[in-house]
Amino acid sequence: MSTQRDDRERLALLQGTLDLLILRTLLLSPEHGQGIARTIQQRSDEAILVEHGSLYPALQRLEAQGLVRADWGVSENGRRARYYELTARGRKHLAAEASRWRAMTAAIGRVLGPALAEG
Amino acid sequence: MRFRKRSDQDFAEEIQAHLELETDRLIAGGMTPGDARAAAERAFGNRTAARERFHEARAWMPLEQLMQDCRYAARSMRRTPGFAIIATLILAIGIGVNTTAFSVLNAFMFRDFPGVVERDRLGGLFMGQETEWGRSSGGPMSVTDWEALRAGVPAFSSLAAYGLLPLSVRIGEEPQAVRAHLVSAGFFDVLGARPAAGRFFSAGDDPRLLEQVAVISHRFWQRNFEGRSDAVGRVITIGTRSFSIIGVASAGFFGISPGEIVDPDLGAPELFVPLDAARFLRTESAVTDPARVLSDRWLMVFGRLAPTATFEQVQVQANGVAARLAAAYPEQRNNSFATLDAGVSGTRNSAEALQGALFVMVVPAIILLVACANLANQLLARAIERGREIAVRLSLGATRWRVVRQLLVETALLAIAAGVLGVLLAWWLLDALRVWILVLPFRIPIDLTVLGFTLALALLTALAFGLVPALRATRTDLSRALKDGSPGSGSRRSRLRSALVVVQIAASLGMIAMSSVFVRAAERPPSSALDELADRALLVSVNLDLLGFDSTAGRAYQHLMLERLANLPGVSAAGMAPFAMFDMISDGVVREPGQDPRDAEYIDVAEVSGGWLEATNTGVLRGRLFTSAELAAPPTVALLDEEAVRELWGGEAVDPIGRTLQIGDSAPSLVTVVGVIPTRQEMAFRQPEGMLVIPATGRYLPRTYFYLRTRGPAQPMISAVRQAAREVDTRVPILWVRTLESVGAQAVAPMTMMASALAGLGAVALGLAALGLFGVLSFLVAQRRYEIGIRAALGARAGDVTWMVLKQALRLGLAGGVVGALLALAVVTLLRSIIHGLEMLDLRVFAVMAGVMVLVAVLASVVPARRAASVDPMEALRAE
Repeated sequence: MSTQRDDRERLALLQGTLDLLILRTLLLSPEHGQGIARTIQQRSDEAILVEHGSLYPALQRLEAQGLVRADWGVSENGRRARYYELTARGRKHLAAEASRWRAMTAAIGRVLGPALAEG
Repeated sequence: MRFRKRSDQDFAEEIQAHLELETDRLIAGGMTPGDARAAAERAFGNRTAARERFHEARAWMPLEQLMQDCRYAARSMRRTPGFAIIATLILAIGIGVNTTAFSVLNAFMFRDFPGVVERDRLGGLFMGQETEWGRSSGGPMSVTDWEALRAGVPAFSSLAAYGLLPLSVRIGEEPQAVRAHLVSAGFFDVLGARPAAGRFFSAGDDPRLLEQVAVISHRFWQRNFEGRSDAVGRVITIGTRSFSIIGVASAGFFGISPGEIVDPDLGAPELFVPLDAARFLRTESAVTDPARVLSDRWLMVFGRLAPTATFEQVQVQANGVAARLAAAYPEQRNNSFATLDAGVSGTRNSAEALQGALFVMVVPAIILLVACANLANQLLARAIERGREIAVRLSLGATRWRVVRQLLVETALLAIAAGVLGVLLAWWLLDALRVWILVLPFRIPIDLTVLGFTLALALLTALAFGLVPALRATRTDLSRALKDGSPGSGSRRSRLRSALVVVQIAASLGMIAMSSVFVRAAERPPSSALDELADRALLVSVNLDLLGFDSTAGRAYQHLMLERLANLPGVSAAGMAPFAMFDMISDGVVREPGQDPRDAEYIDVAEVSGGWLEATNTGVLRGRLFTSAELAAPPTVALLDEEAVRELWGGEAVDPIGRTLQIGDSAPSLVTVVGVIPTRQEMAFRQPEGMLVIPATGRYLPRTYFYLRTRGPAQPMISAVRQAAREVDTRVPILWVRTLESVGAQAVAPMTMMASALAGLGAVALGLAALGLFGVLSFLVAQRRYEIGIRAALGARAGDVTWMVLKQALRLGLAGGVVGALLALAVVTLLRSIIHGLEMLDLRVFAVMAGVMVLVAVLASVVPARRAASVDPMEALRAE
C-alpha cells in the first residue's frame, strides 16, 4: 500500500509521550480507541507506530487518574464502541504537559545543533 | 470511581469492538475481509498482554498481593509451628483478657439492655443541689419532683419513674424476699419493652386496677410457675396485700439501670408493681405531708427523646423545672439543678465514664503489653534466624516496604488467630465472671462492637510487636548477611531485646508485689475478738419493710424472734443490731453539749439490743458494759470505740468515761459514756469510722440482723435457725443465715479477688518474662560463641563461662526488679490514697521479689549456660 511505510522506518514511541498524544487527540471530540490510534497515525503521517494493544492500558491509566472519562456509545458505522472524552482536569494536564514537551524538544534541538541534524 | 467496577469482560468487549472498527476501516480502504482482519490483529499486537496489563492495573491488585503475602506467611508459620502456637497462645491470653474487660464495659455503657429499645435516645434525670456543704451531683427524686418533671420536659416524648425496694412475696406457704421495681404506669412503653406473656400495664389503665396488678420477670415466671401460661391471672401476696399477675416480662428484661441489677443478697429485681400501689408497700409512701413527701427521695426518672429533640433541650427544660421547684419549695429545693445522663450509661458525665473505662481496662492493658513485649522479643530472635532469607529476598529486588509488609502480614495472621482464640477465652471468662463475681441475671454478650474492638486490638498489637522487629530485620547489610548468615547490627538488637526483657520482668514482678498488698489486706483478721468466734457465730438477716409491718407489729416480731433464738439449744447468746458486722452504719452527728455544732463528728451510731455485746464477744478496754436495766430503758448510756475516742478528742489526754455526749441536732438525746471498746473493722476499701453503741430501745428499726453465738460450730445450726424463724412467723422471709466467718469473707471479697487476679496474672506474666530472658540469653551465647571459644582456649573453666551467662541474667533480672519495685511503689502509693486498708510494701515483699527474680534468672540461664560451657574452642574458632 502506498500510504503505508515500512515498519522499520517508523519511530518507536518515547515512554510517556503516548499519554500526551492521546490527550491531544481527544481535545476536539470524544473518540473510541481505534479512532484514537488511527488519528495519531494519520496526524504523524504514519511516522509514529502505535501498537494498538498498548493504547488500552494507557487509556486505563488516564481514566484512573481522572484525566479522561469513558462510556459506551455507537460509532458512525453503527458499531458499539467505548468512547473516551477529555475531562476538565485532563484539559489542564494536556496544556501543562504540551508546553513542557515543546520546551524540552526545543532544548534537545539546541543541544544537538544544526551539524548533527544535517548528518 | 467507575473504573474500579470495570470487569475483565467489559475490557474484552472493548478490544473486540476495536478490532471490528479497524477491520471495517481497512475493508473500506479496499482490502478483502480476511486480510483486513489479519492486519487489524497485527496492528493491535499481543491481545493477552494487553488484558494482563489491564488486570494488573485494576484497583484491587494490592488485595491479590495481600493474599499472596498471606499464603507465604501461612507457609512460613507451618515451617515453625512451635513458634506459631506459642505466640498465638500468649497473645490470645492478652487479647482474651482485654476482650472480656471491654465486653463488660460495652454491656453496661454502650449496649441496649435486653428488652430495651434504642437506649441511646433515653436519658436519666437526677436532681442536684448546691448547698453550703458543697454541690451534690444529683440523686433520686421525690414524687413531687417527678410529677413536676413529667409535665415540664416536652423534649422527652414520654417519661417514666421507678424506685427499687425489697418486698416479701408469697405464692404458696413459703415467703420469698425479692427486689421489686415500683414503676410509673408508662415505664414499659418508654423503654419499648414487650411482654413474654400476658400484658404490661400502661398509662391508660384504670387507676384502681393499677393498685392491684403486677408484672413478673421471666426468671420469676420460670422459677415459680415453670413458665406455664396460667401464671397470668394468678393472685400472689406482695407484702400483706393481694395482687394479680397480668403479664410476664421478656427474658433478660430487668429494667434500665445496670448497677441495680446486681445485689448480692437478693439478686436482680423480679417484680414490677405500679407506683399507684406504693402507699400499701412503703410506709414512707403512705405519708401525705408535703414537706415529708419532698424529703422522701427514692425515685429515678428517665425519658425518651422526642423525634426531633436534643438532649441539650432536655437539659434546659429540666433545669427550668428545677428552678420552678426551687421557687415553690425554697426550704427543700433551694439552688436545685437537674443533671442529665444521656444514653443512661449509669454515669452522669463523660469524664466519669472515661475514668470507669480506664479503671476497668488498665490491668488487662498491662498484660497485653507484657505479651507484646514478649512476642516482639521472639520476633527479633526469629528475624535473626531468617536474616539470610530476608537478605535473599531483598537482593532479588524486593523493596524494603514489600518485605516489611510481608513480615507484618505474618504477625497480623498470628494476631488474628490469637484474636479468635481470645474471643473464645473471653466467652468462657465472661461466663465465669457472671456466675462468680457479677451475679448477673443475663449473659454479657460478645456483639459486633466487641468483635470490632477485638479485631482492632489484634491488628494494633500485630503492628505494635511486629513493626520494630520487621524494620530491624530488613535493615541488614546485604553482602555480609549473604556471606556468613550472621546478623547485621547484633549488639543494637540485643540491647533492644534486653530492654524488652526488663520491661517484662518489671511488669510481672510489679504485679506480684501489688498483689501482696491485697493479700495482706484480705488476710487481716477483722478483729481479734471476732477471730475467736468466726465459726462460732451466726448472722440472720431479716427486713420487716418487706411486709410493711407497722412499728408495733415489727417490735413484737423482733422481740419474739430474739427470745426464740436465744433459747435454741446450742446458742449461748443472741442479740440484734441494724447492721451486719462489717456494714456501713448510718452516721450520727455527735458532740459534747455546749460544743460548737461545726466541731461535731460524724460517728456510726449502733443501736444494739441486749445480748449483742455477748454475741459478738465485745469486751471493754476501760469502764464497763451496759447493765440489764440500762439495756431495757431508753438510751442514757453509750460505749465508744477507740476510733470514736480519737475522732472526738484527738490527741488530747481526755478520759471519755463519764463524759456526756449529744447525738443528733434536731431532737438531740444525751448519753453518758460508760466504757471504751476495740475499734470495729469495716468492709474492705473503707476507712474505719468511729462507733458509738447505745441500747436499741429508741426508734423502731425494721431492718435487723440477729447475732447468735453458738457453743459448737455454727454452720450445722443454720437449719434449726430457719425452722425457729418459721415457727415465729411464716410470713416473714429470712433473707439469709450465714456464719460470721462467711460474712467476714464477703466483706473482704474484693481484696481477695484483686489479690488473686493480680497474683495469677503476675505469675503468667512472669512465666512469659522467664521465657523472654531465656531467649535473650540463648541468643547472647550463640552470638558470643567465638569469644567464649577464645576464653576456653585461654584456659577459662566451665564455671567461669557459666557465671558469665548467669551474671548477664542477674543483671537483666536486677534491672527489671528495680524498675518493677519502683513501679509497684508508685502504684501502691496511688492506690493507698484511693483505697483504705492497704499497707505499704515492706522489706518482706522486696525480699520475696528479689528471691523470685534470682530464681527466674537461674532457671532462664540453665540451658544457655550449659550450652556456653560446652563450647568446643577448636570448633568455635574454626567456624568463624
